[in-house]
Amino acid sequence: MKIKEIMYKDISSVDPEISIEILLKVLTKHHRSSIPVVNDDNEVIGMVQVEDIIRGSLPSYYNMIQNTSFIPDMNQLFKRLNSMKTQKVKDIMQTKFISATEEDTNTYVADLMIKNNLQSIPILRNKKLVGVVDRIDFLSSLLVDERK
Amino acid sequence: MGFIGGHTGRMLECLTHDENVTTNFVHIHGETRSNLTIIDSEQNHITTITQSGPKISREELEIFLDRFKKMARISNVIIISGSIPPGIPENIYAALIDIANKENKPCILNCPGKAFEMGVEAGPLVAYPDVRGIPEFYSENINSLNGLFSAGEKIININPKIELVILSKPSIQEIVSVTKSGHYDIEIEDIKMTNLYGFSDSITGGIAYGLTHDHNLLESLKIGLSAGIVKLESIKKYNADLNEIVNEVKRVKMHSILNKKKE
Repeated sequence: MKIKEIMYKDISSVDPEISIEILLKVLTKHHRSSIPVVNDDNEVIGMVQVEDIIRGSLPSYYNMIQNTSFIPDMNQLFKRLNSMKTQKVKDIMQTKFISATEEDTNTYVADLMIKNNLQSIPILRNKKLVGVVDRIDFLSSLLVDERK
Repeated sequence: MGFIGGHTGRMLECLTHDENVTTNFVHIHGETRSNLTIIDSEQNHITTITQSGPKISREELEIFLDRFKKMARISNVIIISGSIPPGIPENIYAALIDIANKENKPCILNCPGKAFEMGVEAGPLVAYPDVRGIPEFYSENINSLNGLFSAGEKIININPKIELVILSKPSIQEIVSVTKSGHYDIEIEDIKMTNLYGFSDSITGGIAYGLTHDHNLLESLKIGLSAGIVKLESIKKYNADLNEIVNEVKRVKMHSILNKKKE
């Protein structure tokens, strides 16, 4: 089966120049944890994930500590998130991202996602977005016949 | 493209995907409206209960405009239709047509009221006003064939980019089209009308299909009208098969009115 048969045919995207505050609103309303970033020609130039925002808002020394549970909660995450709100998407997006084409098979894309620990992956045609695939899409495709 | 919100919005998006259509909706804070149509086929009576649309915030509109600019670049034909939800300025369609024209993309405008009047100034390729329940349009009495042609003539002269005007008035069972070279009184053979819901959407969709498949404007209009016939004769809203639509083209007759006004 080709991935185009199960991909989610939504091509919502964001501009690299929008603020992280707007990005958070878009992700929240779309119930998504990641979204493609496109240029003026509608070509995908990056991916931005909730994980990137959370990672960016954690103090850098957290990377060096194995267990952070002993550090008192000083609302650091909230304060840093607040300070990030005016930053732009282009400052945090991943410009090196993994994508698939609509002609790729579902097994290939599933393997790509598992090996690279991806929650979702953009599906492109000539660099342009034609859909997205989330891990759950593989499982929900099993139910399509039942729905019919 | 458009705005969706809440449970109804999600359902709409899912149903659209089920029809294999790609979407690029802006998800909004409010709830997508529901319109209820009660068809009493025994009494031949239709009741419509229409909700007001959700208010669109400035931020949501900006996101939409950004996406529209990008989509205009990769689109072949752009259809702009429907009433404008609260929170959006009435000149929005004019702004969208300006964007489409800058990208040299043909634009079909189908909407009512002030949004149409402002939009048509920007110069869409096809102008199709929603004149349901309106006795007068562009100072012309449109409850007659001559009035429809006169209104169409005025509209086509607003902007040189406009090449086709469509005016339909179900109350007098007339559909006309006006081009730069002539006027056409459209006749649909043996029509068995159930209701008009989705009629104009079918027409604009059919025209867009024609334009993207190397048909000229009048041929595209015939395809649009055929799609409209399939819709008119079905009580349910459903997506007709292409063959079903093409089969109806022979029922569309376009009578050229040489002297531009029918006596």
